[in-house]
Amino acid sequence: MRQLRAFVKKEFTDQLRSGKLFILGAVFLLFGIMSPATAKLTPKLLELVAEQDSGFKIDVVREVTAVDSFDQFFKNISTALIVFVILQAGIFTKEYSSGTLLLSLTRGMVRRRVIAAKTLTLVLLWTAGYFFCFGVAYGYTAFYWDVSAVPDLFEAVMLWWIYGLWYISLIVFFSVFISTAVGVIFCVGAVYLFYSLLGMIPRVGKYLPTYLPNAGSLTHGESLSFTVPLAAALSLIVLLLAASIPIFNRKQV
Amino acid sequence: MAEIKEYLPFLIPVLIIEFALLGYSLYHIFTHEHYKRGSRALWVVVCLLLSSSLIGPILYLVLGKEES
Repeated sequence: MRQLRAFVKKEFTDQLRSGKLFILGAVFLLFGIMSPATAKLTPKLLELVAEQDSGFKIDVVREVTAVDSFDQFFKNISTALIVFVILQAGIFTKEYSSGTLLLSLTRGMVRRRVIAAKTLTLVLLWTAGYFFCFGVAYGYTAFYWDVSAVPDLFEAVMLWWIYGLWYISLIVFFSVFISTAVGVIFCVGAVYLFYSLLGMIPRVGKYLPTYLPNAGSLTHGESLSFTVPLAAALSLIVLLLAASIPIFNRKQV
Repeated sequence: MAEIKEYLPFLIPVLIIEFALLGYSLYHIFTHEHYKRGSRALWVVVCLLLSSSLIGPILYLVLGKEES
């Protein structure tokens, strides 16, 4: 436990020194602000387009509500997740190339604790960033619109958070046998692409983890079932992390 | 003016993030001699030109900043 705590602490020092903590904070804050801002500005922009005699007519009839703001949030958070993956893909590979992992390993650090510590760091960063981003978006939305009428917001937010955790497990899993950050990013992207293509088959799509981002539509009052994709994501997370340990144990560092 | 006032709660924090990132990047550029890629002149220009979209400073921090 002491080893784990020390290693997590070291990881956070690393994040701070490399400026990643700073970039992540800025990105999550920015997306948190942008979501309600976009929702607020959209009718204004449409009006501007409508005023120009561009040949097509736009009627702005619908009032913007809190639901639109949260829609923007769920759209923007996927970009934030991409930034997160790109920034953090090097969390293992950086140490392979610099050889610093060897230092901790020869001093008695157990390998599975390395995985545990790095996974924990990523989970903490994602959780803090994500809920910070949501908190900012929620604050603005509550300031401008009535949030009491948004259905199932809590479920939607939690499902999206778990979707991010799935990417963390993918980063950890691929980092165990790929030695460059670009390779890790590429593989995570390939997995996303694979699941997206698989998801095009209508009967299969709603059972895959990549269905989880649709949780945003829960706030529209749509009744979608997320039991199967949630179970799929959770079991994949456990499976990927569990599989990483024996592979990492055998890895030449 | 009234129009702008309505958007101040959005504008102010965005401007703060923008200047904080720009300031941090410029400070880092001027206190370091070597970069992963590019030269001092290049990064200063990139940061200043693309600062309004935040992309310049982020590009520097991800691509140019050397790991200490």
